[in-house]
Amino acid sequence: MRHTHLIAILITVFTTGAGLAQEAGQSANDDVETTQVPETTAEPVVVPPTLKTFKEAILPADLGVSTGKHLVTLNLTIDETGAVTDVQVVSSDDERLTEYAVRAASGFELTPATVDGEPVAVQIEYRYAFDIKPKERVVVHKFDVREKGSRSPLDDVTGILEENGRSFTSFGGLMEISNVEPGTYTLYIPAGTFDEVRREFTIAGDKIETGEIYLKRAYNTQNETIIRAPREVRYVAKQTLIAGELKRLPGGGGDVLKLVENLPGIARSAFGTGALVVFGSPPLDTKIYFNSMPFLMLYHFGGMYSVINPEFISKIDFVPAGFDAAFGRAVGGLVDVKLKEDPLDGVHGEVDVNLVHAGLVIGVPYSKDGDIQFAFRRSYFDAILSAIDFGDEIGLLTAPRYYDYQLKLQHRISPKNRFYLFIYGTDDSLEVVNSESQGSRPDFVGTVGLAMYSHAIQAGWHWSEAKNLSNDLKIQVALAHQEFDLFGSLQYDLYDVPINVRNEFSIRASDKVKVNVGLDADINVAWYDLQSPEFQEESDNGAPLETRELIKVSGDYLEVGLAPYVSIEYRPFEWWTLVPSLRADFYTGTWKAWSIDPRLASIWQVVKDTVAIRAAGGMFQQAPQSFYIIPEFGNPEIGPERGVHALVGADYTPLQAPGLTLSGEAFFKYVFDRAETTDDNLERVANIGLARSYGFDVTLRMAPGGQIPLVGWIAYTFTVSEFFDNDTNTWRPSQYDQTHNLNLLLSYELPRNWTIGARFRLTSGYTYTKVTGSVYDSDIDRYVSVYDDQVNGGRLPLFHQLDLRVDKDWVFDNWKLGLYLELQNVYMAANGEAMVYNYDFTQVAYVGSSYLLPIIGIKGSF
Amino acid sequence: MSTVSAVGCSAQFTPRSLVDKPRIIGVVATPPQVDFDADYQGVTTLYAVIGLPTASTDPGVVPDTLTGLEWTACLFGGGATAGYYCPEMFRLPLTNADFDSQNATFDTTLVHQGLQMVRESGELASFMPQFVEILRSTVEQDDTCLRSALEEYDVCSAESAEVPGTCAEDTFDRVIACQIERGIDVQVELKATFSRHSQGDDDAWLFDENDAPVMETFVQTGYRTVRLGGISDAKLANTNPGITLLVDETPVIDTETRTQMTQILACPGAVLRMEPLPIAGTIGTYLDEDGNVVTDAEGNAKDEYLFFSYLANSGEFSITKTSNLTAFEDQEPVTWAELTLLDAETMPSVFNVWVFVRDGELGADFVTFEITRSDDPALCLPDPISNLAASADTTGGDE
Repeated sequence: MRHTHLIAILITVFTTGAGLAQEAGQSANDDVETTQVPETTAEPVVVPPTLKTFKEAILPADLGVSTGKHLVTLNLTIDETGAVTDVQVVSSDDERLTEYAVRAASGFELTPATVDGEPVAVQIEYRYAFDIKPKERVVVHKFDVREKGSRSPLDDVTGILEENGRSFTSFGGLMEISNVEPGTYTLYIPAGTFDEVRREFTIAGDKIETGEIYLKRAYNTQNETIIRAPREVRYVAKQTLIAGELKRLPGGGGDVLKLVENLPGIARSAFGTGALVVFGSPPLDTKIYFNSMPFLMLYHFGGMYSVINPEFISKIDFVPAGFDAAFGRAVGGLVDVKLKEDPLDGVHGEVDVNLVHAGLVIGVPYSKDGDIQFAFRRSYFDAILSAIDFGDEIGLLTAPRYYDYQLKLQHRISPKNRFYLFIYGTDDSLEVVNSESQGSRPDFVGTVGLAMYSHAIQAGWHWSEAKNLSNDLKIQVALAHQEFDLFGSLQYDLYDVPINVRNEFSIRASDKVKVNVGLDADINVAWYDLQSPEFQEESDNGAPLETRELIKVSGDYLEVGLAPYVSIEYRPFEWWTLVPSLRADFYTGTWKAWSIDPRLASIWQVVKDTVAIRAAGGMFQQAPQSFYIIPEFGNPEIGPERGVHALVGADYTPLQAPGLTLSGEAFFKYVFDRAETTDDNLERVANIGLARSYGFDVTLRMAPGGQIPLVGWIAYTFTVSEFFDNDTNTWRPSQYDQTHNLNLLLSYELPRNWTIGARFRLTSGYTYTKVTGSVYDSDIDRYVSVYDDQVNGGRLPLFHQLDLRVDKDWVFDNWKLGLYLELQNVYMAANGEAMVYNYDFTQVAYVGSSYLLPIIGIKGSF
Repeated sequence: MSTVSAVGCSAQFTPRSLVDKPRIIGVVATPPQVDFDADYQGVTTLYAVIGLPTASTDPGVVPDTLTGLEWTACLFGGGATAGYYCPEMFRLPLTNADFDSQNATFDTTLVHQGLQMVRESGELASFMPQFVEILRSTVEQDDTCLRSALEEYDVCSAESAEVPGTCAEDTFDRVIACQIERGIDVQVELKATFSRHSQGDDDAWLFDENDAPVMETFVQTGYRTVRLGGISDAKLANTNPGITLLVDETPVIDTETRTQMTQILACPGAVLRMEPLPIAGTIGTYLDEDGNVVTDAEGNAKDEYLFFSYLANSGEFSITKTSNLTAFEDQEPVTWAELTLLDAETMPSVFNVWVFVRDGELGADFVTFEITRSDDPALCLPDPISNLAASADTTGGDE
């Protein structure tokens, strides 16, 4: 051991100023300040060492030390030459700095300490101060990181420079390479959500280069849930379809709205009708909304395609019963199609061409706070049909055609305020002449014409203050026109101007209570010119059109509906939530009425995130259909139709398989005061109808994730739907009674951008009243059917159908090309949708779909 | 119903024009609208047009026959919308009928007497509620007279609830007056009974152990409306339209001489064009809602449009029931029809053709004739044709 004359000297050294950059920035300099030099002996003259050469500590980039000042206190042994011969650690604010402080201090050069002018070895205490400053980055290269095909900017993508191991992460689609010396490097982005990428690039040093990296989404990473049961307590029976990948499911031809029919609780609609029979309720008892505003028309031509381009739809909420008082004027269920709110991250567009129509969507952000999107579609199967010869008896005066358009503008006014404007419209037209009708309906001769358009402007403003206060205002003004002609017997020409306002203010009073107060207002002005055969009692079935009184009326009507409501979300315990709500409906104008509907809903989390029990019930009402309250034609004196819902259900989500949810619910609906046609022509319509439906459904929702890129659901619904027969004083099946309804929908992602899907449906046939014979009416030269006393005592055969779909995408850097083929009714099941008879009802046949319907399309998007 | 067969999803039904089983083809009322008021009640004659199929040539098969006709008038029937319901108190059997001629005479004096009996029976008070209920179920929107009477009856009944029947007589008189002014549509029911040789499930003719044919009877019901009253100076009584039928441009028969059975000769596979021409003076004119004559662009009164029904025991018509509609606006409505006869293997030796004409206002008439098969090579080769000039023949017929 070296013998050294040690003098204990206490020296305090401060270092400040710019220093070495590290992950968060750090500085140190060589200023040395001696603050105290206590003498160890009384006599000798002691001169402490002074720092001649400061050595900066080199900190690695990823050391992870927080910004601010940190001290490492060292004991330095300095020999007679001024060299540091030993470094001992006294203390350290951050152990990660210690090593670097020691290493730096070991390289210090000092003037030796002297005692009476003689150099001596000494030991001093030295405080190495690090001032870690925020990073001062010097960007040397930039990469735009985008998803291949969509060009969407990607966040949180991490790349590593293979040469030095430094990593960089993208933010806002931008990955900046900083503080790297000039040279050639390789950026490596490992596989994850996207396939791995290696990109060689050069840093020149004198300017910042820019590059683009397109990342291809890896197989089995999409796996997006397409169906959920969000279990909002205000809507305990809600099912939600998430648009996105939904359009790859077969059955809808790419139209997500068409798949609503496959949800539990909805009966299969007869071919071409698109009618939503919810829990056995007549279709008109279910309200359809677009963004919580009344939807003027859901489908083109009653079920072919929906009138809104799927690119505008974020999700579809379906509530079959027991909904909150925020919604009313419906004794059935409700469907609410939600507009996409995601801001556009760039210019995007899509062109979709299939055998039925061609469509275009284009969207562009006009600022960082707003964007605008436009879409247009036009069908062209009129051109195809026009080329077909239907013979002398049938002529296409106007081949069926439609178009629709949508324009959306959304703007984020501030973090608390959002605004949107949505303009949409549709125009459908069809006119066919049939100059002779075989079979039992010779009255079905003449023109069938339909021309309708609707244009609507919807605006919304959402304001929220933290989590406690929010307000949601929506307004819609529309113009709709319908002109219809059914063989000259039923004709109407209707202009309609509905104005709708909905506002809901929410306040969270405490952790346990949230109060929602709202107003749901409808104003409807209509002008009509109507000619129709008199309505018949429901049990009378269809008498020949030419034998029924033809009623002609024209006029106008004004409907004003105001409905204030309050809904209180009360959560007394973490596991139990209760929502009482109350709605008052006031109608004035041509028809006057009022009603008060109390409702209650609750969810009980039996096992958190695993088992929940939910229940809802209450009163519901709706105005009779407009044609029932038109003076001269119906009865303006009738009251609202009323109903009671009761529903109880449970959900089970296994902890070990969160992508699977098994749900079930039992329901009961009782509707009274239904407006029905009477056999009194002075009264014509009265609140004499009763209806009830009950049953249950079971649903397994699947998005297992992991290594199984499968999404879909299996739903079974059992329904009994009955009307009370006032003639026999018995309950009888309604025409909406579809006892069993099984739906299986699956979509499976394959490698190389292939997706396959299947839909299988197995349902009971609808009911019908059997024909037992016929009589001959010489006045009109036709046979008139004689029906069985048991109304709806017959049932159409079981319906079963398999649909398949395959999608293939080719993904390029800037755009994506997709090809899809959907085969509906693959094994050509001969499903009967209705009965047709020969002229005297002695022969019968089913009308239905026994053919394979292929839908092929090509889609390009960017 | 006699047979019900599922024929799959694409219906291949027997065309309505093919009379391959016994059926009522129509009922002609002469006149279709009868004078009727308190002072005078007219008479109308009803004729049942019955179609029977061509007799089978199978050995031992008994041809279908008409075995009975039963006529009943119903004063305030419900019509098709009420399933032709007829309250028992308004049923009036027409006993003055003749089976052989298939005629029935409807003397509307019976209706007048019946109403008088009800009026003077002393039971009007108990009768009225039921009567009013029937009227309420049939009153039309534009029948202001009857609606007003019924509404006043409601008011009167409510005000005099303690004295039932107070309003009965006044309401009854007023209601009947309204009905006569507008026209009372009497629903005439015809029950035709047929006898036919039974067939098994495999369509084989059935015979009993003694080889006697197994016969069955069935009843077909038909309805026909006769309008009583509703006649005024502005609105004349409707009459039946008359036609002359041209077959391949040759007049064959007309509605005025239809009692004489005409026969024509035709070859298998021939196509016969049948064109009915209206007989001048028998066609009415259209009246608008105010009773004014509707005229065309030149100011000429528009003839009422005629609708034709074509029926036959054999062959296939190009159109079975005409309408005033066309597939395209530049086309004229089709009133003629072509009958394509069956080929040599299937064409019967003789069969009937019926052409019915209707004016849409209860006026109706018909013609019928026989087609006799010809296999004369000179006539039928090289192209199958009909030879009206060589074959037209008339024989006496019954009505």
